[in-house]
Formats: sequence, C-alpha cells, structure tokens
Amino acid sequence: MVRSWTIIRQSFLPGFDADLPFLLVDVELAEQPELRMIGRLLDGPTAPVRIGAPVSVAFEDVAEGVSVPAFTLTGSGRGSESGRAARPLTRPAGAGEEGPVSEPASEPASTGRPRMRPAGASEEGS
Amino acid sequence: MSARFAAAGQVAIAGYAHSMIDRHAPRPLGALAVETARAAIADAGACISDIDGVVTAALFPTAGAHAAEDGVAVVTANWMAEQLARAGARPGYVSGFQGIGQMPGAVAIAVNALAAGAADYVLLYRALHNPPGSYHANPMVRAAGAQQWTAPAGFFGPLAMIALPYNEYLQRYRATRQEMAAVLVEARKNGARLPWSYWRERPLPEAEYLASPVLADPVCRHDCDIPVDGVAAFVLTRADRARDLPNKPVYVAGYASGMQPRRRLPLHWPLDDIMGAGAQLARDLWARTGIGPDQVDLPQVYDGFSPFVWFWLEVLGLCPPGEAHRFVADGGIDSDDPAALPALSGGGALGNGRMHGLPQMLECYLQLAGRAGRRQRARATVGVACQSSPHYGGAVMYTAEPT
Repeated sequence: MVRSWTIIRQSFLPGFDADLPFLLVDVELAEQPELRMIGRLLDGPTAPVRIGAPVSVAFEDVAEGVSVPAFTLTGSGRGSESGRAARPLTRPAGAGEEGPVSEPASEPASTGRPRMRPAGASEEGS
Repeated sequence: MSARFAAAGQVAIAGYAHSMIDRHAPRPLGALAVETARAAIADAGACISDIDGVVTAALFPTAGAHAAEDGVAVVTANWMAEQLARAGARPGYVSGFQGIGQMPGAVAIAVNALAAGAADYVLLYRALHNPPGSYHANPMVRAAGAQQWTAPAGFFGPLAMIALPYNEYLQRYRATRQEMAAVLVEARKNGARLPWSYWRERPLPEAEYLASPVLADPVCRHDCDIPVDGVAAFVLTRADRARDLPNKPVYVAGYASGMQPRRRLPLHWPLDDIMGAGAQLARDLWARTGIGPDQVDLPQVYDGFSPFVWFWLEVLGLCPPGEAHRFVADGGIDSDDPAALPALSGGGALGNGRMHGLPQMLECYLQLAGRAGRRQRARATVGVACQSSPHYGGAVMYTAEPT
C-alpha cells in the first residue's frame, strides 16, 4: 500500500538523468504492517497514485544481471509509459533455481548506461 | 533517568558572536571560526585565558563526496582548542558531539561539563561550510551498505528524504504548497532583517516561491536552506559566574533528544516516525524542565527543510496535530504580531542560510537577554531552540530567569 510518494526531477547521482522524472513510492507491505520499502513506481511519473493505493512488487532490471525491487499499481496494468521493464513478482537476479516466473512482454531496458548498482552485485566477475 | 534535570538553571550563556554568512567566505572557515570565537569571548567579558572548555559539533552534512578537511570544511573542537591554546587559553575539556541535532547535542555536552565542574568557561561554536560545486552531488556508481537497498532505485539525498514525509503530510491533512509559502515568507521576512544573514534585505515574495520549479515533489529549491559559510560562537559558564559578567545571563533549563523509533532504510523518514518520536521528545522536555508548552513564548523551530516547521509546531503542542499548515497560514507565527508565537523570528535556516541549529539558539539568547535590538519582543521569558527532525534531533529550553 502506498504511504507516500515523490517525483524525482533532479538526481544527485550519475546515470539517472535519462530516467528523469521518475516516481518513487513509499510502500507499507501487506505482509507486515510498519515494514516499509521505497522503490520505483513503474507506471511512470504521471500515474494516478494516491495514499492507500494498492501496489504489487515487480523487479526492475537496472543493468546486466542486476535487478532491484520496484512496484506497479495493482490493477493498472503494467506501466509502459516509463519505457522501463517490469517483471511482475519474479525473483531477484540470480536467486532462483526454478527459472523465471514470468518474463516481461518487452525486453528489459538494457541501455548500457552506467547506473547505480548494489555493491553486492557482481562486477566483471570480481 | 529522573524526571527533573538536576542542573536546570545552573548554566548560562554569557555572550556570543556571529560571522557574516556568505555563499563562500573570503577566508578559510577555520580563520572565520577563530575570529568569531575571539569576538564571543570578548562579548562575554571574558579573556581567552579564561577559556578552559571547547565544545562543538563538526558534522559536514553533505551527501556528496567532499573532503572534510579540518580547519577548511569543518572546524573540530580539537582544531579550535589548538588555536586558542596558542593564544593563551588552557582548554582541558575538549569535546565534539557526533550525532544529529548538533546544537542541542553540543549544548548538552557543554552544560553537563560546566555543571560537573569539568570546566569554568566553555566556548561553544559551530562552523558551516559550503564547498565548491554541488553540495550533495555524489559520483558513486556502486552503493555499499544499507544504501544498496535505496540508491539503485534513485532514492538518494535529502530532497527525496524530506519529500516523502512532506507529501505524506500534504495528503493526510489536505495541506497545500500555498500554505507552505507562508512559512517561507515568514522566515525570509525575519532573515531579511538580520545584518549577518545571507538573505539580509532580501525577503521572499509568495509568488516567487510558488513559481519556483519543484525538484522532488512537493519540494522546491526555496524549501531547502541554502548552503553557506558561516560561524556562530557562544560562551557558557555557571550561573553564579555569569551574574558577574556584563551581559544578562540566559539560563539553560534542560534539553531532550529524539530517538528514531524503528530501524529504517537510509534517509527513510515516515511521517509517523517523525511525529511519534517528536511527541516523546516534547514530553521529555516538559518533564525535565518542569515547564510546559503554554509557558513557551519564544519557540524557535527548526527549518532546514520547510516541512520541519509544521512538524515541530505540532510536536511541541503549539497547535493541534494536522493544523500547523493552517496555523502558519493564518498568521500564527507572525513575528510582527505581539499575540502570535514568533516561531521563526530568528530567521531560522531558511532566512539565514544553512547554519543548522544556530539561528534558533541565537534567537533564544538574544531575545531572552534583551539584546535583540529593534526585533526585541516585549515578552520573552521561555525559549525552545529545536534542531533537525524531531525523531533524530533535539531541543533545548532557555529561560530569562533561573528555574
């Protein structure tokens, strides 16, 4: 459930300028009250978001082999507006033995842009 | 801990000095800090050789990758103590506060040292720096530690941090940016009257605020204090000594600090965390000082980001929960109205520049000491100086008479 949101129009990190503007949601998980996460709303910056709106988790492919949790408005259909790839409720990259639960209709956006990645993600086999 | 602060009214501010606040000072920050420290010591009627305590909070609050070089970008208590020692001081008590809510934290260290007899005259100061280039821009391409759960999605830096609870407030209480304009107009009105302020003689018209582009909805540039170079310094001593010094003493009645109630991701500040912890902070402050919100005639709320003004007004019980946006828009904190609560009469950070909790502490001192000049309020007996978010920062209560 959406508890708040913001639309980022200026980034202090490299690699995000091409994504601007993008919408971040502050989500309280249905599975555990008070547990909150922040992620991209993949429906795009003009999505009809409101406090209390239900969302579903998705994964956003931010670089080769790197996916981070994101959200889509439940029942809205996947946001094609942002041009970003959403994989509905699948596994973190590299985590699953049972293979992908579902694949996005379009290919993940793999622009080769250097973008922020978690330090735990492998980099050139290091 | 016991309810009442045992050292209430035993320590006082004896004098102060303030540097000019500039976008970039013409001299290194350390030089500015030493000059301001000397001026504060003289203002207190003391000599450098009297100073045996040096206390600060040296945090350089940037999300960027700037070097925190001592004497240039920060001025630590050790650095200052060395300079003063060369000029004849014998600082045996040197301490720096490391947390958030820098001025309340540093004041607490100074007050405790004086009350315990660890020092007789403490120089308390804070020096703020604006580095060349973007204040918060960070070239990192890999996020380590807890930031790996936030930065890859693009959640980074203090604008996004404050945007979420600010929007949460707007949505929950049907507040508006038009109402927030009243906060900025009040802060800049008061800042425009201060000769040291970066915004001296430059009030902010409401239309200019509303025309400013939004950077992280609903936050625009004017909602953020502007980074500056600047220093303020105070001399604190025990109340019995302060009464023999030239200026009227202003007494420290007590302090309280906020405690984040739950583990959160970096920079994730849900509104309920802020307000819940803030309510506890206020209860602690009233209990430790024995003074309640109805006796506070000079609240000085923190405003490094404009929504903090609403949050602190509600946390301190100066207006009902969810009502601060209307309270301010209806003139509730107008410093020109003798019946209002002048919560930004010292200009705050929005009206001075990014001086952290210094404007709040200074305004409490100047008004309660009767040294506010043309801005002097007829009634100023109990002040509260706040800093940072209520769930991370702190508040100090000052009184014109010992409690």
